[in-house]
Amino acid sequence: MKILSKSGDTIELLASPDEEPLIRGDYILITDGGKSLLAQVIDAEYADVPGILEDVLRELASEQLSMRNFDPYGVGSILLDVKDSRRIIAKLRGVIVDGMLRNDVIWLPSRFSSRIERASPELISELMRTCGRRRIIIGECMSGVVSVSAEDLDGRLTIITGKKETGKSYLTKILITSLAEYGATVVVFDINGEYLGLSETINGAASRIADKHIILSPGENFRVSVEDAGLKTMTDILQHIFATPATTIREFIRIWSLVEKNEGEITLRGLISAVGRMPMHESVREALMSRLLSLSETGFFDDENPTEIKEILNSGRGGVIVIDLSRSIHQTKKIIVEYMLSKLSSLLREGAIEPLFLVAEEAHLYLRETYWDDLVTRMRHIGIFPIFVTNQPDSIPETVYRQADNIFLFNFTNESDLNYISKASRIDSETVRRIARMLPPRHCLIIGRIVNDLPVVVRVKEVELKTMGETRLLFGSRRA
Amino acid sequence: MSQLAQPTFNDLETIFKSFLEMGRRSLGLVNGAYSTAFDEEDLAQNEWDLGLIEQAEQMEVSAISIPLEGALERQIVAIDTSSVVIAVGRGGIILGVRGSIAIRSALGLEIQCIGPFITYLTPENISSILGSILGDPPPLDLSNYQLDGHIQKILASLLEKRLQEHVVKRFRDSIILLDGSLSAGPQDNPIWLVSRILEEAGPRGNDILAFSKTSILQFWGSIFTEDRLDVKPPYIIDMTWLIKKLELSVRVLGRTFLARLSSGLNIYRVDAATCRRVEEVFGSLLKSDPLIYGYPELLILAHDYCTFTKSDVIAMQAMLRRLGAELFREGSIRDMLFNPIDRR
Repeated sequence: MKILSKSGDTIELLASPDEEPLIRGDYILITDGGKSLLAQVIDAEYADVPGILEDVLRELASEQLSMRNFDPYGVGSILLDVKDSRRIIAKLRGVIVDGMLRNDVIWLPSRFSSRIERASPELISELMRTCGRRRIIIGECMSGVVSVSAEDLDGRLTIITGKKETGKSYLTKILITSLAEYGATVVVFDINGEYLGLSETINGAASRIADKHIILSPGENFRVSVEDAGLKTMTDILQHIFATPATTIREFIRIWSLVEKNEGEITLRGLISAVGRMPMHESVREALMSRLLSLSETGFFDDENPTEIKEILNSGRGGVIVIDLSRSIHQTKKIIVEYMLSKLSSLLREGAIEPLFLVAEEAHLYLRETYWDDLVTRMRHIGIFPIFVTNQPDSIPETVYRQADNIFLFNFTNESDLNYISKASRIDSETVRRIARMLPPRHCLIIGRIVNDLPVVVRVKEVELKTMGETRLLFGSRRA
Repeated sequence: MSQLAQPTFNDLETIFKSFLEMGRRSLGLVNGAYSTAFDEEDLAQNEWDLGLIEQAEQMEVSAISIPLEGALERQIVAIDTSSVVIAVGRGGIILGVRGSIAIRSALGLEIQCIGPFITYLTPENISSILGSILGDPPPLDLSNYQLDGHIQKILASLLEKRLQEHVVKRFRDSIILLDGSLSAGPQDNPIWLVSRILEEAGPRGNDILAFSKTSILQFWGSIFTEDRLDVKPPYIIDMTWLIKKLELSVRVLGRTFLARLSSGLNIYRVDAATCRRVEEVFGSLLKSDPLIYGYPELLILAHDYCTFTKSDVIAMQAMLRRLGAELFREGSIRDMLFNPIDRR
């Protein structure tokens, strides 16, 4: 390979077709003297060889002809190499001086005498390594094992995105089970039931987090009391989920106070009874009564035997707490999430529980709009560290991408999806467009602090956990 | 159309054995040459005296119509060669030459590419290299060949003559199309070799037509117009007597015609050495091969497949480097003098 040109942070190399094939995301090292330039391959194109149009036209015309060649010097084979020479497009990631990767050094290696080689996986691993000690092995890159640090997810906003069936859930499972093994608490909003099998391996044996895997099924082993939910959560549910008018909300707050004062405790039954007998405008009574009965029908509220979420979260060993939303209807999902976020916030503010990770898959389906900013700013500061997983990148507000610390990007082919993601501030848009479009299944581009801002393409390792949430097929196995 | 024997590449290896050996040996002498930029101007040629037009206007001529009805389809074979300067060294120049043979027969269209041959010409080895093309031992004294501006053309022309000789011997009852003329006499067209080609062609039933794209005769097409001659294309005008009178430094073997084979302004000089009536040969040509601007398509194909492209030159320079030759990049004088104004 030889350096062809450099423009901005893009460097172009000329390569012979015989050279070892490069893969998008591979790193190359251009060494000249004591310094090395580190560049990441983002694409390859045919070189603009002089006279190639004439050559191709000649070849095209020859397809219909019988061709015989007497080529005593074997120039033809060299010519094929020349015609097929490649232009490798790479992005500069920095200059390595005395073993340190630096972005502030302006230096260019010689076009003719520099040595160009594929960077070793050990070097990339070393350069992307952050100071965390808790390693999570997530796959391999350039034939070397890639691990990230659990500390780099701690206190961070993480996004895992890619189109359907590209491996997002595999990676998410690797991350959350590893976090749980290191003693972290991870709450998962599971809308497809994909995380219900984490306690079992694919062979049916108990997984390493079997004793830390808790499934909370709303209406079954997960019921909450109205009092535990509190007035604010209940008014939020009425306002945002049931679209209750402001005058009716005011009446509800008055009734709540009266019930609390007269009965000493708040129950859903008590509230329904109070709404039925207290004087109020009939239209308000009807509006409140119908909504409270709807809440009652969800089965999520149980004032007699409520689940103590605080105790579950405070088990002290960490774990993966899966809120199974897969069997709940749309409105109930929203009620549960509203309750959980409100409850987690208040527990964290009180210092009653340790900070935790919150995995929100396809969060746009159940998260109200006002919560996005809350999650990435206020809640993050009190100790909820979100991991958003989605196959619809535009369902996450643009501001969230800009504030994301870590992005795990799987394949996207849709141009508008790529445009949206390329707004992430931690990487240039060209890298996102060129690499993400061609990523094979179970390969992802990791961007952000977790890789020390050195984007790497990783083949995500196999997950030994029992896979759940796979699409049910009418005609049996897809391979058949 | 007769079934004809196709030449094999074993024949070519035998024919060019001596040239290949000499060429390979010469490349071992390359040491520190400047690789040249590809420049198609090198291939241009014009060696005619413009004053001839005035004399031609006084001549009496008549046209011969080409009969298409009843014309026989025949096998057509076209030959062309091309050369290029690959590098220029202290002691000589490295040249690449390539030939092509295009054959249109009942079986379809076949292209044979011969070469490139690469050779390093120095004042010391020039006669032996040129001689090696013509045979081993060379049939004539080549000591008067010089390493001057014509050597590239001479090398290509000698290779072309050898290929022509090879074709007329190997094919039968074919129309052989050549690029250029049947003028003999200059260093690149030895009379004995051109004569030998024509002598070999006749007994095998081959008819030779040599088309010249750059002849000054073409300008006479505007003098001998269709109105003046009262004829419609396709037709030919016999100019043999004129050529014999005018060309003093060369001898034209065969007959010379102006040929307007399709409607339009395109007219070509065609030298013919035929064993059939010439109009019959032209008729068969028109029946067997399409014309493009009045020029046989097969000759265009032969030209296309021997012409060097820029990638060919890059590949040959790369091959030389692999053989150990040291090549330097030379700046273009044109660029140095005229850029940025002249960005040709």
